[in-house]
Amino acid sequence: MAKTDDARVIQQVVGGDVNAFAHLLERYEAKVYGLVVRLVGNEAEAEDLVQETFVQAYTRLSTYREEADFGSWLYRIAYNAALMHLRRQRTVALPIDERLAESITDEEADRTLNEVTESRIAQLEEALTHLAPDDRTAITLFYLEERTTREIAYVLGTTVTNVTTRLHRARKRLSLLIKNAQ
Amino acid sequence: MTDKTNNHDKALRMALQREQARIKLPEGMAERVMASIREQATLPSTNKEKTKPTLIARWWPMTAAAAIVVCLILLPRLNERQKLARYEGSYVEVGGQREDNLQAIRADIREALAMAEIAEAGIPQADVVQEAEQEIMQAADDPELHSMLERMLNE
Repeated sequence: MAKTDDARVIQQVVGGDVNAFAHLLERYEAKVYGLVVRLVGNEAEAEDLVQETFVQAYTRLSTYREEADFGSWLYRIAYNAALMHLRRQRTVALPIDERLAESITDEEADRTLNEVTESRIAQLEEALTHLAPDDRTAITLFYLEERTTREIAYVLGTTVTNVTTRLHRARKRLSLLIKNAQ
Repeated sequence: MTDKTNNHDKALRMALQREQARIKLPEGMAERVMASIREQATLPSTNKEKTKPTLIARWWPMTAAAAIVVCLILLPRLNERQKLARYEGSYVEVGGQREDNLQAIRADIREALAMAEIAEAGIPQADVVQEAEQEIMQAADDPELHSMLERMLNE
């Protein structure tokens, strides 16, 4: 389903065809669930949040103004719902020493994140779970969903410069976490 | 970091892809979401736009009625306050305590005004003057002063 198809389905739903929403759900549920479960780390809670996300999207569909593509709009709702949930639970990411993270050079981060070995991939999977929600979202959307920094900025409600800086720091943080684990 | 780094950080991409592969969608989640959506009583499109005029239409007669009631209560009070302002400076002494709050002593002011009205209506003005002259004459004990006052009053 292309972007224009999304627009057509959205028009149908806004026109009163509730069942047409199932097409949007089918297209985006796995992606939204994937992001949310990474953020909250619990499948049952993630399902509730995905449900909340789609219900919110449905009730606010008439306010969607195509300032971003529909997927980014959904991610933004899901990200905010997950963030609120984490705040209510007072879940905090493992504190990472910023000075130590900054001491990691770009070359060192490049080496760490490009070393395609079984152990390195496993280490990275573990390290990813320790990132703060905004870094985790930025990394997931950038590397997995191949979203642009502009789209990520829309999802996180920040600027493109901030996303670029965040991705840069997140790479260093991942490298530091792996370095500390060794 | 730019948007053109698709070949960078291969290990990180692979870690994310593996993680993604492990994530299984809960069975029947889409059906449950659709059921929640169908439960929503209102459609997303036009309802929000309709609620505003409906709310205004529902509330404006009540707002207008409330405004009229407030005016009916406040206007007579305002009017009375203006009337009382004419008697600024009046006071009542009760048990040595001086009370000059016009609102507090308005009953006394009304009573005094009513009494004055009754007195004015019942006694002819000449009688009042004559009574005052007699009081002055009685107060003058000195015979010289008495005769002087008598001359003055008779002139």
